[in-house]
Amino acid sequence: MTVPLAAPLTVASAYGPVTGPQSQVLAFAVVVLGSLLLATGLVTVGYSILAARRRRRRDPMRAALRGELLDRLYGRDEPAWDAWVAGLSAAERDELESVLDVYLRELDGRDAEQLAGLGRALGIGERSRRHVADGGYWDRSHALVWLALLRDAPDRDLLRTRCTETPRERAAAARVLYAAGTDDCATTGVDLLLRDDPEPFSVFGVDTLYRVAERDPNPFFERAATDFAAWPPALQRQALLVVRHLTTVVGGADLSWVVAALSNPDPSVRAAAWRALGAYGWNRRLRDAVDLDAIQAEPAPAVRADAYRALGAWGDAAALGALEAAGTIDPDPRAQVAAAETLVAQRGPDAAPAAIDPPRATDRTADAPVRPGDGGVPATEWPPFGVAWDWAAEHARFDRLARDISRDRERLYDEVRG
Amino acid sequence: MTTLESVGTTLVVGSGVFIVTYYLLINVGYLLIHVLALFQLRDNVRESAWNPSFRAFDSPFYPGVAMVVPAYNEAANIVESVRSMLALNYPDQEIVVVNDGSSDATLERLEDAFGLRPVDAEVPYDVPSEPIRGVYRSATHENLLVVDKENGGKSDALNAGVWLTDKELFCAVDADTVIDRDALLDVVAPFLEEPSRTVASGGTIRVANNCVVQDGQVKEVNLPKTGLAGVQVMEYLRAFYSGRLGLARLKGLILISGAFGVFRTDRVREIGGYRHDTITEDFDVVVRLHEHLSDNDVDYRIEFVPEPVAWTEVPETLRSLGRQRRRWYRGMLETVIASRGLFFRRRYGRVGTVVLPFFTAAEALGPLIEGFGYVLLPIGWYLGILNVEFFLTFLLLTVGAGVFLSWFGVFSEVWSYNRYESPWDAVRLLWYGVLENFGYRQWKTVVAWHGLIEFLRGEQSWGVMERRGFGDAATEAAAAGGGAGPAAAAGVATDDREDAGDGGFVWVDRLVDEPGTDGLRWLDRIASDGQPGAFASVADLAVGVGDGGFVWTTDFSAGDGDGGFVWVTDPTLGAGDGGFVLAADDDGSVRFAATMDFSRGVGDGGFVWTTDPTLGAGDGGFVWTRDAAVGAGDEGFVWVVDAVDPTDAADPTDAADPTDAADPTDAADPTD
Repeated sequence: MTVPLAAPLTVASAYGPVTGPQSQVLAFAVVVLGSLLLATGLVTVGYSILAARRRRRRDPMRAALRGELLDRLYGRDEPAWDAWVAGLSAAERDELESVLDVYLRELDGRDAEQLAGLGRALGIGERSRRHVADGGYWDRSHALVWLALLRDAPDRDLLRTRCTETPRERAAAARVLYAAGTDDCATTGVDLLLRDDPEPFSVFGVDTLYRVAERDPNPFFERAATDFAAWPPALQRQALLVVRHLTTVVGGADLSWVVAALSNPDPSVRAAAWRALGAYGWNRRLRDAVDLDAIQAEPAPAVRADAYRALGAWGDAAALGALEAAGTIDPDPRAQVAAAETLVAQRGPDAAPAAIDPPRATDRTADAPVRPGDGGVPATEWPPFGVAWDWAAEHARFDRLARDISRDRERLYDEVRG
Repeated sequence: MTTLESVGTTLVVGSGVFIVTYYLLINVGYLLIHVLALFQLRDNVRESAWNPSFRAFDSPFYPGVAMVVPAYNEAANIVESVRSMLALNYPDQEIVVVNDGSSDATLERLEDAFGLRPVDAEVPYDVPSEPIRGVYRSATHENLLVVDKENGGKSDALNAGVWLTDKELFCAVDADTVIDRDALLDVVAPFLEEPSRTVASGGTIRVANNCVVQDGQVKEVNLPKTGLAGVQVMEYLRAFYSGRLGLARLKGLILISGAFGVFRTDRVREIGGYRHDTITEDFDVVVRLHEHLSDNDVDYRIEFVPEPVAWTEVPETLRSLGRQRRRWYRGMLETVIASRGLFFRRRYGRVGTVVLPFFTAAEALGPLIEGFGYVLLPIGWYLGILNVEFFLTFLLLTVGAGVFLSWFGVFSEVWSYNRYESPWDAVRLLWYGVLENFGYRQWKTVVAWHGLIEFLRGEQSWGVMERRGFGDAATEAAAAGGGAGPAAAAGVATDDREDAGDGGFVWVDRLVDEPGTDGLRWLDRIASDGQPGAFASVADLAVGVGDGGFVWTTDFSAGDGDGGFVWVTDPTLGAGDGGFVLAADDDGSVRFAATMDFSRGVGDGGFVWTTDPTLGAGDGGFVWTRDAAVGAGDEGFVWVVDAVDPTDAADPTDAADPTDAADPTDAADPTD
């Protein structure tokens, strides 16, 4: 609707009464806006008053419930949760759930088991199972968190059929199994997480994958060995991240897919593969499967930097030799610093200068190739290792100084001070 | 009616129709954004209520975050600020403080408090910033790194920090911002939820004025006592709860506050870091991230999380608020113009097709057009062509819709996180939502026009933020700053700078040495080093502090620098935002004082630095020189302190006589 907003040039129009169709529209707009304002104002103030009243009531109630809970948990032989809960009002039960949530996250072992009894007395376990079976997405998600806190695993089929809508829900379902410590935690957990075209996880999901795989790594490594290539790069990176942290439990699992990931077209996956392999220096067979000469031909500086860190973590003569050969002539300053840091970490910042003095670029770069992506800069013009080395050594000294709490502190202090 | 009258009337009437239509469309757009914000807020509240059963500190998978803290003259607050950041709840965190060429004791305070020692090695990377003087590590805190560099501005300092950290994420945070203990954990939530897609995430900034701050934490949330700060609380709520949430819902968030925002380090490096030639670097960097990632077909998201909170002080005077808003406005224009290539291009998604055009129309052009409307109303009334319906419609669209949108913001706050717990606070906030439309809103349109003029003139200054500082630390530091001069605490407590009664004109070679230094920073520098003293009129300029002095001239090229001091009544006319006045101390003595309030001075005026001698009340001013002959007379003024015997000088107190300088013409007269 077009509303003429300026009237003809007459004094009457300027100062006369507001009439006509425009005025009706205007009046309507004023009424609508006025109503909206009134409603917003009333709802805002009303909600604020309600919230303040709720807070006033809630704070002392919460303090009393917390005291009683701790007394029953630690001060008595038998907490008698059922009897306590039976005497609570609905508001107190709501508040007690909130208090229980806090303590279940903080406590482990026998205390947590005792508190799980309170959860059962409050009917949380039963309600959560019902929500998993019949509830909507958010109800299910909250129910899974409660079940994990109560260490109470529901039926597996229910989890498989009802709790795989999103990566988050898959992770929450697997977490229940991990928290409950079920025997099938790893097999069912990995299946929940990684079956049927999985998508990248949140950090919670990655952590859950790591936790269930830590219990028994085989289901995860077997799944990855067959499906890895089909996963999206983001999930591939996450799987490799998990591999990196499973180094102490991996046993004889098949890691060939990790080595193969070094040739992945996505540089971020290659970098993740190097980071993962860095943790497996003890695995001679795995080390032998890696082509160290290929590092110099790697076009992505970030991948080279991770390769240097992995070689430094391996620490054997072949790895350090390859690291020095590639690191000293690396044209990327960050990659070069990474190489220097790993060498300093190996030899220590206090090593005699002669021992730690890195080879100069000119010593070994005469025949060095020009890397793809380096803009054709001849190897002989690449900067030397010196600056990166000094930087790495200085920071290693400071790290040691800040971590040191022994009597040597003052000596180190002076040493850093120079 | 003559033809001329007819044309004039048509123009006025046409403009009126245009303005009302424009505002109608803008308000419809705002309303949609606010409704979207409610949906987004509902989702955010639901998301934050879902708390999975794992412990952040047990997990090895949290991304490392570097808190990058640019610090320029933050001596008063920097130690407290770093301590509060070191105490944040986060499993893998590093603090990178970048001392941006401070002229106060910022670096020294850090050195003392954290046992800083220089890293005896050259920085091995090319860092896109002004030269780095040194890098320091703490002997006690492994995760604290301090970078000391030449002054280059906030963007430059941020770049130094971004290039010198190896953490996957960095959090840009102002040194004078107080961050809630769990805020970092909360603000990285989008990175935890979608680690591979998220490139940036911003939290909410709230107003700290009148809040109780202890140990670097806000212990008690209160509304400010003054109306001006209270109105800004309303504005912040509206901007964050409604504006940013709504834009995030549209997948078109284009601004993450520079006071508290987390970014992927590699992505920001890819775009070359923060631009140096903009004064609203936070806005610019987000827009450029959108452009870069869209150009490279990267699947990404930039999120806003309403719950993590950083607290900042807002200006409590119209003068400093106006300065801040003019800067924001200029920066917005800069960024809008720089990103014009994104407009209406589908390649850039909703950012290009909807958000940037709407933002430009509403935020950049809106205040200008509204201001034009305010001018049109009295003209129409004067000409007798003011239509009552037009007037009412204009009011409805500006004031009425403004109040409604503000109240929407208050409702969002009360309904969601409800930090202002008392219902009276809610009522006060609603009242501020009404109040801001009568006077404040109109004033902001004037500020926008002023900002536009400054932008067209190429003004680049940041201005100064007048802050009182948080808690006891600021007060203690200000008191402790006596050794370095009263303005040592000026970085955060600029009010203190105005009491720099025992400062004075001191050695100006610093300015000559650093021609890029603007008036404001110069002011800091000399006020920080100033000693009690007075000016004396002498023939031999070498007898004062330093080996030179000031002479009167109409040719500023005659001095050793490229400018001089002129007498004005408006302190903003100079190259900085302030100048010097002759003001009476509590003890009755008259001294030169560095200030931004010239009404404090004798004669309601003072001296400002400029390169234009005609800017002042006279036709010239005072320049620094070692040769008194370059001036109009054969004498000049030198600064003398107790230790200096002005042998040949006239009585130094003469120079401090207010009558000598009270009259601008006196100051302009070289024979005086």
